[in-house]
Amino acid sequence: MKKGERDKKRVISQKRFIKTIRRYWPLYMMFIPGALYLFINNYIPMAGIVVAFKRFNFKDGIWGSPFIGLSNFEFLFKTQDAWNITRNTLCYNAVFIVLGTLVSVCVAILLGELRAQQARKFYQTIVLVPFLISTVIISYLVYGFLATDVGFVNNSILKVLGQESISWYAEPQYWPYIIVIVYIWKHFGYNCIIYYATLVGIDRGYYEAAVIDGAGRWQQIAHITLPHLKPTIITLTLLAIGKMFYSDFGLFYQVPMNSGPLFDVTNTIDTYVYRGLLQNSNLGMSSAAGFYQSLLGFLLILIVNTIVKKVEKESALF
Amino acid sequence: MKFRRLFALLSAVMMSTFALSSCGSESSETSGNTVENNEDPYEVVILNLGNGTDEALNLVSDEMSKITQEKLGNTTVKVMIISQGTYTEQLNLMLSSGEQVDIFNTYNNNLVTLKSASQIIPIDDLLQKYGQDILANIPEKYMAAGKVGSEQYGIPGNRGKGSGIGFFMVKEIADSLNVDVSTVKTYDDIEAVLTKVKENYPDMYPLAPDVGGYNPMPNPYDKCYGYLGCLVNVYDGSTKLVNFYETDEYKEWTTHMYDWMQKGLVMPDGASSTVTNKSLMAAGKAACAIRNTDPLPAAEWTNAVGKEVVVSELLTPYETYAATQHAGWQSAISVTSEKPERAMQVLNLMMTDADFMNLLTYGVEGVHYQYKDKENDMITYLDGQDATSVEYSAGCIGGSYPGGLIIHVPDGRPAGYWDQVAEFNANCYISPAYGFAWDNTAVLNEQVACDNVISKYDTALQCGMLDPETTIPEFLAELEAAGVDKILAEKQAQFDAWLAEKGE
Repeated sequence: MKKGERDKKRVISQKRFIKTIRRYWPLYMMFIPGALYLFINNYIPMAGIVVAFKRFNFKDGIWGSPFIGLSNFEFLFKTQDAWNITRNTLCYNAVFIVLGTLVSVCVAILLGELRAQQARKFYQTIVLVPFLISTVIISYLVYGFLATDVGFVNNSILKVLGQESISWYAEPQYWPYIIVIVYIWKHFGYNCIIYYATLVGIDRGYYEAAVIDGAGRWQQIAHITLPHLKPTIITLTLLAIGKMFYSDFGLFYQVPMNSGPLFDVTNTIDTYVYRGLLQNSNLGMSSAAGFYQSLLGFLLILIVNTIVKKVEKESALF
Repeated sequence: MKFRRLFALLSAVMMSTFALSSCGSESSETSGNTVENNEDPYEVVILNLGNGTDEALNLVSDEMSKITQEKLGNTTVKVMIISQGTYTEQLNLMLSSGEQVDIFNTYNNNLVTLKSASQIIPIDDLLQKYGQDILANIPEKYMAAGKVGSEQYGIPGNRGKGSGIGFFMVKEIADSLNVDVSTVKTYDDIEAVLTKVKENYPDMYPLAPDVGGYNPMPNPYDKCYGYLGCLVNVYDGSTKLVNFYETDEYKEWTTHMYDWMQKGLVMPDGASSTVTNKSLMAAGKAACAIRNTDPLPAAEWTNAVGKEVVVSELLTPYETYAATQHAGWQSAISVTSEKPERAMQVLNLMMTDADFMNLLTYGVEGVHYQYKDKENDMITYLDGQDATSVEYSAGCIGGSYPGGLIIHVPDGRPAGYWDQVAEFNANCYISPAYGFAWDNTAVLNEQVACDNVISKYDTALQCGMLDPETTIPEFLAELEAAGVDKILAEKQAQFDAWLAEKGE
């Protein structure tokens, strides 16, 4: 490209930019508070990341404390639990993403199939309720089911069936299932509403045309609903993948009642860091753990997004 | 659409990134110069443990300031209060953001850790200059517990400085079963009582652990800040630190607990218990408990449970002992104090001024408490109030400041209580490690790994949920892999050095 041409292009793009601003300035004004919030709340504290590389002391503060390189990160890897906690964190999240999406999409489609207005509103509210309950309360609901002597399962199910009662909080083999069930029970409603919102937005015309062509319910779902939901599914999945190195602390700490014998299947990076640093409070090490998790999450997002971009450009995040 | 998604993504990532990181400004430098006659006004901030409304805190601060204005000149006091559950966390936040705190209580944090994080300052000179009353009133053997190396950092509180381990039982039940609790001393004695309870009160847990499965082993052990490297029997005078979980005592204790669990004598799921054993007793769900004893344990439990409780001390030959943890809860001067000399003057005032200490501990008379028996200096809550509804309560920490033994006798304690506490202190056997604290910075990675292993096994074992025969070897192997030997060696080295210094 010649220099003159380039200059001309730049002038045009500048003009276009000014024109856009003139035209949409109210929208830009509305954008400012949000951007400011994001900047102050999420970008400025990023500087605090240096703590992860320092031996923090209260006298010298964040900037004055001495640098110690990567040794704050060591505790995450120098343990025989390193493999265990990483495996638990990743595998549970993978299961949550796959099963969670499946359940949410199914329920969203079922909601969409409901014709009675009243019933639909009712179910829409009902599915959200578990999401609004605090994890601490959920942990007691679970305890109500699983307590050894007074729990519902041991007393009202196993006893009736003539089975031995089970000491649930001391038997790790059941917990992968319990954790997954509790998670999905709590979270499916929220995602389901997002899918349902997309689903409502699908042009009814497609369905009418399909009906005229003789398509049944299944075919409508498979050929109209699901393809329309695909971009939303991909976006939500990508966002979930970014958080794969995090775990829902309440779910893994409160719900199993912090019971030691279950650690092999309930210990995740977050609970490990919490238990380790509870008695040895160390700002540098906890920052290091947070930094490690977000860095890996960010890398994961980049990788998956690149793959999505290769397969289906439209649905990629960026 | 694209932009929106990018934005959502960015915000999600950023938000999660900094959830664990902290922010704050640099803490201020401490000024070393001293002011002799307090010309300029200064407000001393005291961080207290307990609960209080803003209104109550203002009132208490004003009343305390009247005393300091009169006695120290140009000095006022501001009391801040944090509840126990969040104390350490809040304290860290306040100090890291450079907020002014002058005097705070070390609570369960060890002095060495506080010192190595530069949260507290040495006070030897200040004590010499402004703390003569403290030096005169607190015996040297206790002051030694506030030392790190050769420097003084903390002032030990004046309160019950030791504990034993007792077997507690609701008297009504003991009487109906013809049990003389005072004769219960050994595991076999305990088992016999528990079995009787089970036979006659099938709806009760014979033995219940405390919140979180706390169920202390009935041996005179000194955990020396975290069971790895502890003294398992302080009475034998040994100074070799051992791995608590490797000892025969631990094996014996957990074996009994497991056995009792199999026999249905212990509350199931004890490790996840969220109810205190006192409230289980109050609700008629538990008959007995094993728990640390303070001065006058029976009176304390009777008061808390609302039924008469009897107790038998399980330790012999000394019933009670003072261990490292009893040296905790000291007063320290924060690194963010702008005028540490004023802080020391206020601490010195605490030692001798009962009115000042009473305000700090109980609040204002007629507003937060009333006299029950003025002659014996006994107080109680206002009519219609109790421990949960009172607007100011720091009673739990009162004794942790220098003048802990000059305050009113709190509700539920007998007349002359503080004299009995003093007598109790005099009778306590003192652990060879009393006053020892250690710095785990060098072995922090191992410590974190070991703490995780401990929380995996320990509580469940002590509550009888796991079979020690198979579990303890696993437990020890995992500790080994987590680097327990390195911790033991480091701690022993620091302990030996501390002993040598003390011996001089």
